[in-house]
Amino acid sequence: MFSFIRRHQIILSAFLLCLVSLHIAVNAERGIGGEVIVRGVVSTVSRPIQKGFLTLYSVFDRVWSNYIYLVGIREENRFLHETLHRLMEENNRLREELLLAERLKEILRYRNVLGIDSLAAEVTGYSSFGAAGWMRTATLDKGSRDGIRVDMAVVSPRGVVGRIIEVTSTTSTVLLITDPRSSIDAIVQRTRTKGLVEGTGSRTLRLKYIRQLDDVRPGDVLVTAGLSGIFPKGLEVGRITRVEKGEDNFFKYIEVEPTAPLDSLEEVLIIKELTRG
Amino acid sequence: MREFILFIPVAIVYLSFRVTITPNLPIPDISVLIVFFLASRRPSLEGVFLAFVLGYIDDIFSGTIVGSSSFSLVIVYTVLCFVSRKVAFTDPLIRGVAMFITCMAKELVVLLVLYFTGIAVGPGLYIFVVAFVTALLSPLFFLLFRKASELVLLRTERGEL
Repeated sequence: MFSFIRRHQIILSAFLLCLVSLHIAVNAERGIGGEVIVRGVVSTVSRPIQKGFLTLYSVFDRVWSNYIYLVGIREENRFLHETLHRLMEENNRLREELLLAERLKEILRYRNVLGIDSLAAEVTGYSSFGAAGWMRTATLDKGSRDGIRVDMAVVSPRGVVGRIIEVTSTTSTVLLITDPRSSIDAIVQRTRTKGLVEGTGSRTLRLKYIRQLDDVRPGDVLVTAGLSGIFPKGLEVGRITRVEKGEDNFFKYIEVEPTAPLDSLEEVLIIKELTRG
Repeated sequence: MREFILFIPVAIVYLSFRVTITPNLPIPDISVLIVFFLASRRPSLEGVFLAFVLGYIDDIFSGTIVGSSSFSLVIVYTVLCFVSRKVAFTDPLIRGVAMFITCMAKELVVLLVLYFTGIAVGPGLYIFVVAFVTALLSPLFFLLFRKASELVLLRTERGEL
């Protein structure tokens, strides 16, 4: 009997342990098998071990997220900065292109409204000469090769800009209406009173030869009279900002603000023929 | 007793690691590895009891019905004891395949016990992946177990343990 048990001790003990296991498993809900005690012992033993693992894990996690992970961040940051700058430049360029397209559209619309033979040109530079900088001209990117000649009118959708005074094969110079050498025949739109608009060398113009009796008020709009043969009739020149009694008692002293933004023009129209097409 | 001294603390530390750090990762099943190592090396009465205790601890850590893994591991150990008399698990490939089958068998027996206790759980992909990982990494674990066993044996002989 004992020799049988000894010979088959593994299988007999396995059988017994299987029965015990099944008994525990089936009665697990009732807590049979000293489960609570064993669980308590195991958890007491494993708690410091688990704490140790958690500490190690948090240290590793900290080292990883604060140092190792950040190694690539610097490179990524540099790349993102470069991308941002590139995109900002591109965005700026596209915005400029958009503004240019809008301006050209406006110029084209104005050209169609004018209905006369004209040529769009780009302002490539401004010049102020003289001790006080009162001589005012602008350079355009169109010249004799494009059919530009001296005394052609230069206008913008907002109003009169000036006239061509010098032409090379590829560029031309515009005498702005604010230059003291500039004078244009003009009419007060509201009363049809005629006068002469002259440049003052500053940002304003002066309307001359308006009699004391004439009805002219601040806010009145001045348009070209079309008498000189340079500017077509009816183009806006400026708006009257100040009206005073003149020193000579014959004529009024009248200040006019040009309607065209003469300091910030980028594209203009050069009128080649006054006759409407 | 040597096996208890060595493998119970190893299992507790490993299972603590598993439930704390890698609860959702398919890492090797340490209890199956130990049982396989012991059964294929030198079947003994101590081994059967160790399989039971390992299963019990495994159940406590994994939160399943206590008794299911101990039942399964005792069966696995007993079967392996008989099989190892006929088959030598010296070849790494044969050992790997046997390890995979053992791991799957253990899980299936656990599922069977759970089924009879009223918990119907089907075998998922996770069981398959764990069995595969266990089989794949078994050579490394067996090497470590062998070294540790030799160390414990040496210290027991010196009377240090």
